[in-house]
Amino acid sequence: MGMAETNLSPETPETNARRFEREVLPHVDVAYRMARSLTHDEDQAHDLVQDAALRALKAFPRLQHADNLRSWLARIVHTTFLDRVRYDNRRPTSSIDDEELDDSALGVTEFDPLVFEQALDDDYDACMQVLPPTWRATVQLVDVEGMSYEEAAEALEVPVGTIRSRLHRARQRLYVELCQRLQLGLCGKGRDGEGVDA
Amino acid sequence: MTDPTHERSIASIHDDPGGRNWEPQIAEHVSRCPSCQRTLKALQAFVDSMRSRRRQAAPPDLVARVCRTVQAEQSTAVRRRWRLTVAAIPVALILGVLVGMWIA
Repeated sequence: MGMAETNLSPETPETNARRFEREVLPHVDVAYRMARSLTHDEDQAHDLVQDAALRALKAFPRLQHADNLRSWLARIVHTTFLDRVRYDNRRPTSSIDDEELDDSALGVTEFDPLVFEQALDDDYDACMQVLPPTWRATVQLVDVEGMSYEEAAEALEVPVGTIRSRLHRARQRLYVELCQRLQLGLCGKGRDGEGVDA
Repeated sequence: MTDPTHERSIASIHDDPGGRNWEPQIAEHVSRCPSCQRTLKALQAFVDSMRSRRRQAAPPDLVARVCRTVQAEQSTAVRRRWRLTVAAIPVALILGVLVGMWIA
């Protein structure tokens, strides 16, 4: 079952903080990678993780089930990020969301393995920036962190079908971006004109 | 005309590039379909590249900063609790006196 009931007795701030440090802080790497992927900026990622940790600490005593703290923390990082973007830009959620994005022109029916094999971390970083934040978060949770679709859906508070659709479109978009970088000679092992076959 | 098994195989490859939960019919199709094998190889290369990013750990200064934030919040919460307790004492005393006077 794996559902551990927490909050069975009233906790003091000391025990809450101690339990938080023991149970949640081991997942700070996931929070950091998620924040890094969402912000693409080291300083902003640090601020985001700190804000999210504070929110998580305050929400921790109300947490009913502690069976998936990794996905719970990822959700708080994501929500904190979206709140920041909304606050900074004073714009509605839909513009930082993905469902309206026109990707009909992608039309990729088959991936060439060479494209993914040629790309380096820097290339993925550059191409990830093109994706809307919600797609980046989905790729981050499923493809990088190895979460199941169900865990990612819980973390991002969307249906499993949305995760599947975002992932599919995000991979297509990444593929197209990587192909373009390859053609421009910006990509991976062929960056300096060293034998790119694709 | 599109082959429904092929379509399902492509979807299965996307959902589960490791092939751990494929139906036997899908596994059989993928094993003899060059297009599926190419897609599978590509997605495996993609997922391998992405998984390697999991090595990136939070920098020690960030971990220390988060720990400091947690400890500072804990101290604030403790102080807040004490302040409430201290503030409640005179209220309780006044109430006690009032109740005492009312009984008398």
